[in-house]
Amino acid sequence: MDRKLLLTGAISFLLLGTLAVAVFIFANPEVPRGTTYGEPYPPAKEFTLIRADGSVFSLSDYRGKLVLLFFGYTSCPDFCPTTLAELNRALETLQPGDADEIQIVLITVDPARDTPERIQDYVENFNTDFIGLSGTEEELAPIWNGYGIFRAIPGTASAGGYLVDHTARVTLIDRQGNLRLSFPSDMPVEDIVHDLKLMLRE
Amino acid sequence: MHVKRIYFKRISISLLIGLLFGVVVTEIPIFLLYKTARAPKEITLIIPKGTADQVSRGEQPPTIPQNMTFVVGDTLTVKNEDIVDHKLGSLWVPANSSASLFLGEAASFAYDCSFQPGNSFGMDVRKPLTWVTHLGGIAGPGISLGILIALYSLALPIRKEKNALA
Repeated sequence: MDRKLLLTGAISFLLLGTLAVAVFIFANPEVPRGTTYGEPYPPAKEFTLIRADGSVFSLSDYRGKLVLLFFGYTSCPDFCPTTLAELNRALETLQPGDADEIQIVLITVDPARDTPERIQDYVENFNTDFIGLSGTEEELAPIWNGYGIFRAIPGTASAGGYLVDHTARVTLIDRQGNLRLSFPSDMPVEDIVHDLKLMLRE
Repeated sequence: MHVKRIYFKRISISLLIGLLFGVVVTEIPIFLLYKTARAPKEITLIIPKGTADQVSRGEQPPTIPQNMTFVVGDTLTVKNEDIVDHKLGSLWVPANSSASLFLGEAASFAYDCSFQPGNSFGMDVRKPLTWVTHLGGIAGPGISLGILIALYSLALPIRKEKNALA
């Protein structure tokens, strides 16, 4: 009698546990951890800049790949090197081959100092597949505006030269050229990897 | 066998009393003190057409609050119906599009914001009220008290059955 009761109790417990796990899994579908854009997804603003090797970079040439767009500068003491290192770490965490589906692009907010050659050399310190882009202020201003990038030179110079205040947000553009996600500067690498995996599955 | 059944009965009743106590000490304060607490949900904030013009004149857009209260797990969706791009902290919303921000931790923020005349939007993110809150509140004190009562009940003498006396 006692054994039967114990068995019934154990089976009921197991069934309830399984049900609870199933409810938890199906009630919580995987959602991106970054900031998401709603449908219809806004198209990423098209732009063209000349690369360090003299070739033309057009955003539309990267349709079919995920593009991670970041705005920064080579003399940046904090956010830029940290973000580029974290993006590189995120790519290294992905399955082999998946990283080839992603293009990381850094556009300068400091065209006075960052020549195309200088910014390309800079990004290659993190990953040789990264692309660094620069241009004149007239060429870059519409791109900054088109991606909501705040950029200002406060005027206080340090021993290493002046600093540039700028938005430190990484924008993810999907394979169709639409804005899909953005990552704040303090987003953990594992969350970036999580979102990249979600986007690669699409 | 009889003794075992009595102990089982006493432990069960003790745990039940403990859990009832847990319900009382958890649910009454929740009802009285946390009337604003709720489960996470999606909240949409609409930026109407003409907001940028109003803000540039220093006017407060009438349909947009200056600050909002959320719970952890809420998703704030900003729908930009204006003709210019807007931003809220790390959230940049091009004209005629929407963007969502997941609020994952309890904190108070004052975000840099383009749709407020003061360029600042206050966000207070509180802990949510979920079934885990209820369950934790009931089980914590309930089980502890139940175990205490059960231990006390085990020390009480067992009354002999009438059949046994006869």
